[in-house]
Amino acid sequence: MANYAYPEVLVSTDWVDAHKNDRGLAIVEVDVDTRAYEEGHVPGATGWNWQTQLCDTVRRDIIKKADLEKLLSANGIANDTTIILYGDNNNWFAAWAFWQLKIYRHKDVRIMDGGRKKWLMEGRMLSTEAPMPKRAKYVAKGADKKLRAFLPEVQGAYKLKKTALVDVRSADEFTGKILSPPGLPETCQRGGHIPGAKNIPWAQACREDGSFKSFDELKMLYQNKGVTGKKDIIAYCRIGERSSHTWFVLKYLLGYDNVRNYDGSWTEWGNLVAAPVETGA
Amino acid sequence: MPKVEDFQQENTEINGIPLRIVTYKIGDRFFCHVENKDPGATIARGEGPTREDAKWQAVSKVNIRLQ
Repeated sequence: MANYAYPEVLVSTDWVDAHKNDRGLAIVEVDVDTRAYEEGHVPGATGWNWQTQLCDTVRRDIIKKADLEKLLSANGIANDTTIILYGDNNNWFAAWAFWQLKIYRHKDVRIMDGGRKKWLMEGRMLSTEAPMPKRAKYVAKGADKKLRAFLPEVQGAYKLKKTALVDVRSADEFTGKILSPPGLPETCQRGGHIPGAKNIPWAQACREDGSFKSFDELKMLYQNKGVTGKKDIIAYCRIGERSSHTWFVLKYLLGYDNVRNYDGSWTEWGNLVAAPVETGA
Repeated sequence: MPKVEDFQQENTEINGIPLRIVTYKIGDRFFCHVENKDPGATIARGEGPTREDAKWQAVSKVNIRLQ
């Protein structure tokens, strides 16, 4: 992990196994499949549900500051706690949680490289007991608006063409062949992509065991599509979760400064009346 | 505390959709989930005393959901 721009944001499964009982550390599992945690999890890990706990459940938005404070406090997490996130499917939603914790400026949050899949593949211990942490007092800071892109900024980026737009969905979603991946409910009125966007599917950043590719491999992956740190970058997908994974890679592993996640993503753009849409590769 | 055993992955296709079937054992139970290959989200899960039982449960649900 030494070559990454910010290697301190990644920990290995070995490290988590050795430090899982340390004081001042909170391990949190965040899965795409919200039932996976109950099957068995890293001993001592808490489980967060992205559908109910990491979003505003009334309007479409990320978790509110006050709700994040409640969630973290109830989980025994204070402002100086080191939070280790991991999850299924190459840390897809662990990255979503990481992005939101960074929006509210939590200082020390890390991702377990390889996530749940690597932990399972390595035949490590699992617990079905949910921890009962002592309540803490968490006070979140104001949102860091530089990490998130809203529709007007993306429309501006499209018009000015000075920002790299990275569409991290599958090739079939990008071309407009399908509106959403098979079996997933959130969809849109039109298929395709924002004109000018580059298609770099998020999972290309990972190896077969779910861990991140090396710095050099990642740099090459994005560079080959013209995405370097020289321009501002906005990543998007369908609802903003896959793109939070790419945001993590670009910002923390490659160290590009101005990377934002457009969580409105294709379910916003692809539903807009008269929005420019490009189809095909 | 049980360890994960016999972790296996296989690729398949149902109704023309590329899928990955993942199975493993925790304690004396087998677990299975079927996910779409891209982006890798779980479509259905199954659980049973044997790998085949767990797989059958999960794949049966997938067949209905992807009709």
